[in-house]
Amino acid sequence: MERISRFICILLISLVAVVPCAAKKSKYRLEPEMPSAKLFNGFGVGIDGVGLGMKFLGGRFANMEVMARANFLEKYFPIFELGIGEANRDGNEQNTHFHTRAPYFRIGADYCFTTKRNGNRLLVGMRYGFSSFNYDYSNPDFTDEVYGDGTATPIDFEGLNGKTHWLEICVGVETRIWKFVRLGWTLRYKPRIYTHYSEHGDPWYVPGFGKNGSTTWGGSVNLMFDI
Amino acid sequence: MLLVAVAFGITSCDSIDCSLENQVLCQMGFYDATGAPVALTDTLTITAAGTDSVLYNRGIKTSKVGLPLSYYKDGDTLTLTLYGEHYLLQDDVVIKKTNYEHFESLDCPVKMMHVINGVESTNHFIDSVVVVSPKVEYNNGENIKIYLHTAD
Repeated sequence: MERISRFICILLISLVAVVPCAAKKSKYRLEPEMPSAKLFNGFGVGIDGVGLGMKFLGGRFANMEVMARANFLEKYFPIFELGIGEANRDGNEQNTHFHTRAPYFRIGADYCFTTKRNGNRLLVGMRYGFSSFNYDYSNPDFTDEVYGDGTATPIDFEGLNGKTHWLEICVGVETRIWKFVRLGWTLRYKPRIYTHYSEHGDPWYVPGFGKNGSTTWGGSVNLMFDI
Repeated sequence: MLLVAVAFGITSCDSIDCSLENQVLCQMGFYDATGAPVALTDTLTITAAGTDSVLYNRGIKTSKVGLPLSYYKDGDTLTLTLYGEHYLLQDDVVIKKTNYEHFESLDCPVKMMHVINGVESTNHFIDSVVVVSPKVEYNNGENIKIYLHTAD
């Protein structure tokens, strides 16, 4: 019994002695706390390089856009993207041609998951996109092979109207490359939510959305400037 | 950057989604006076006025048939010739319609689709004709019912 009480006393004394030491050690190990972020940390503007690249490399379509965003608490980034999308494409086997050129916009927000404020950001966000546009479709070789006399009756639709609403789920990273200059990229999954097209047919491409379909993928490489 | 490259690679791939139906056909079914579907016991040939094309050639036991309509006319006259060993009967079915072009994709041929505005016929072996579905599109079901005289 005496041994047990002696053991308990030693244990308690050692605890009392060790805890302040441990506290002191951990105090030295802690990094200085980051000052809390301001509510509003300014605006940023940027340009997407992918669309311009596709345009100059002769891609079949290109979304050329600029963006502006606000920075709240270094965490929340409401964002507005405005662009012009265009497409020129000939059919592979059919002698058809599609053309459109129209503006589009997206509005949404990013959330920054990185806790350190060292200029690097991991962003996850969502956008709502909309475009109302006119598209042209032509097929000069259209022929009634049963009732016709073999003469082609060219089809030339101009100004067919289309409207598309869609969402974008975005994942991206960015880093500060010089003072107020940032470079980043996003990968985007785009589900279409509402469409209205001409009875003659759906457009091959939707400005801002990409190749038309129920879903598609896209991306951006952004050069941004904090202001 | 690899992810971005993969994403752009995915979006740059094209898939061709043309309809499996090569032609837009007006679907017609044959019925007796009670409204029950019938198969013609003799040979049926269908031609169209204004063209030398035979739309349906010497069909036997025909109960339904799909026929192309003209692309730009407001109406087509189809001549149905029913013949057996000792007889030949002929009726015209006149289909009034409007037409509109439709494209599925840049990689698919343009199709002409139709909306039937009315149908009438002569009455040698046909009793009456009725439009049941006016839109003539891809795989749109039966468009016209043809009721035949029932032998007394």
